[in-house]
Amino acid sequence: MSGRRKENGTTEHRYAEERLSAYLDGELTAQERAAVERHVAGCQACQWNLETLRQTVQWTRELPSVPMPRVFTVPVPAKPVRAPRWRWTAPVLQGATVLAALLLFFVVAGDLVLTGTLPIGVSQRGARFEEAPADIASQKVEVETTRVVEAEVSTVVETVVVEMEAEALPEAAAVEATTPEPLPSPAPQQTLLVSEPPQAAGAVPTPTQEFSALTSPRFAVTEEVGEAADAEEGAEMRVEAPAEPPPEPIVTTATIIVPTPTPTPLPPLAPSMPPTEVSTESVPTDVAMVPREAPAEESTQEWNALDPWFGLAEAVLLAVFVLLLVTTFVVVIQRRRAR
Amino acid sequence: MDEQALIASARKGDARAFNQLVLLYQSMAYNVAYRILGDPDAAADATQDAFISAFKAMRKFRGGSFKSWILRIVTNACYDQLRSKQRRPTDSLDDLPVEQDHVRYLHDPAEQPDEYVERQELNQTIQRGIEILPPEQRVIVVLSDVQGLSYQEISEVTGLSLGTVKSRLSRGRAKIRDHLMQQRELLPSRYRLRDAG
Repeated sequence: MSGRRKENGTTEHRYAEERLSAYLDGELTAQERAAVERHVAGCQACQWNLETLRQTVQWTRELPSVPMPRVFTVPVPAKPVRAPRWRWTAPVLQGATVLAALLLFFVVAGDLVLTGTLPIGVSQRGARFEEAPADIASQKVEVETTRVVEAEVSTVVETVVVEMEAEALPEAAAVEATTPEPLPSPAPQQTLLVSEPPQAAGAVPTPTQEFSALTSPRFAVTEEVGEAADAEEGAEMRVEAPAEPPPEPIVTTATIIVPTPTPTPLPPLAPSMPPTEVSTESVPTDVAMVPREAPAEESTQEWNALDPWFGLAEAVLLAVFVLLLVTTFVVVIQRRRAR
Repeated sequence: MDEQALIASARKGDARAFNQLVLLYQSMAYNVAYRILGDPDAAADATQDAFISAFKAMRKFRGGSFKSWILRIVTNACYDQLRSKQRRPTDSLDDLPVEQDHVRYLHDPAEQPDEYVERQELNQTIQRGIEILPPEQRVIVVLSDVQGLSYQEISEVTGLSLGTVKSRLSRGRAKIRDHLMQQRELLPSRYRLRDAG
C-alpha cells in the first residue's frame, strides 16, 4: 500500500512537474489544471519548482529589445523585369537613324553634285538643263573636243623630217598620209602642223611650220598611225607630189590643224600629247563633235530618266529619317524615366 | 498601403512593397536571431539572409500569418548559422554584448543606476542560459518568452505538434532556471532565486 501511494505520488508528482510550465501559460485543460493544483498544494518541491519557473519566465520576458545595426531591406532591381527583352531597342533605333541620315546626306549630295543646284522639282530640273546657257554648252563642247583630239593623238606618233623648199609650190598641198582612215577635208588649203615627237617631254614644240606639197624626193615625211607603244620608233610621213592638179588633201583626224594667221606659241603639253590648238570654228564638227554629241545627249536623257527617282529617294529617306529620329527619342526618354 | 496590399504587391515582385514589410518586421526578426545566436554579427547575417530568402519565396506565401511565415524563415536561417559556425556556448563575460541591452533599458526613467547595472548582470546571465540550451529548445524558449508567441503560433512557425512545443519549452525553461541557480551567488540578491531548501 505505501509503495503504491509512493508510486502514485511519484506519478502525480511527475505528472504535475511536466505540466508546470504549461500551467504557467494557461495551456492546460481544466482537468489537468485541477490535478496540478491539487498536487502542488501538497508538494513543496513542486511549489519551489513552480515559483522559480515563474520568476525565470518573467525575467526572460523582460529581456530588452536590442537595437539593429542596420536596415535589412532587400536591393531593388535597377531595371524592370521586362527590360532585357527591350535592351537592344534603343541602340538599334539609334543606328538606324544614323544610317538613314547618312543615306539621305549622300543622296542629296549626289544630286547636288550632278546638277550643281539644290534638289527641287523634277520638271524644273530637266528644263534648267535644257535651257543651259549657250556659253556653258559651247564651253563643254569645246573642252570635250579638245579631249577627243588629244586622246586620239596620243595613239599616234609621228616623226617628221621636213626640209623646207623655197620653191613655190602649188597652193594645194598634196599630202598623202598613210592612215588607216583617211577623211575628206573641206578646205583646199591645208597646212600640216608639224610638231616634235612625243619623246620630247615637256619641251616646247617648234612653231608652226607651213610647207606645201613637196616634189623633191629629198623630202620624205612619213606618217604612221600606230599604237602608243610604237611612239619611240617614230613615224614617217610619206608625201607624194601629184603630177596633176593636186587632189584634195587627205587629212587625218588627229593631225590636221586649223591654219592660223600667225604662228602661235603652243602651250606646254604632256609627253603623250602633241600640241593642239583647237578652234571650234574650223575643226570639223562632224569629226570632233559627233563623237561627243551622242554622249552629251545620252547623259542628258539618262539624267532626265533618273531625275524622278532621285526626288523619290530623297523624299522617302527624309520621311524614314524623321520617323526613326522621333521613335529613337521617345524610346530613350522612356528608358531614362524607367530608371 | 496596408499590410495585405503590400503583401499582394510583393508577391508580384515589387521589391519596394516588400521592403515596406521589412521595415515592419525587421526589429522582431533581428531580436529573435540575436537571442538565438547570441552574436550581433551572426544575427545580422541571419536576418539579411532571411529577408532575401523571403523576397525570393514571396510567391509561395499562401496567406495566413505573415509574421509566423517570416519567423519560420528567420529560425531556419539561424539553424544554418549554427550549423555553419558550430557555435558553442561560453561562460565568459567578455563575449557578452552588454551595450545593446543598455540602450533600451536606459529608457526606463524609474530605474536607478545601480538597479540598471544589476539588471544588466541578470540579463547577461539569462542570455548565457539561453545559449547553452540545445538548438531545438532554444528556438522554442526564444519564440515563447522573448517574442511572446502562443503555443499555436510556435507550432505554426516550427511545424511541431503542440505536445512537442510544450515539452521542449518546459525543459528549456527548467534548464535556464537551473543555470540561474548555479550563478545565484554572482547575481545581486534581488535577483537570486530562492533556494530549494
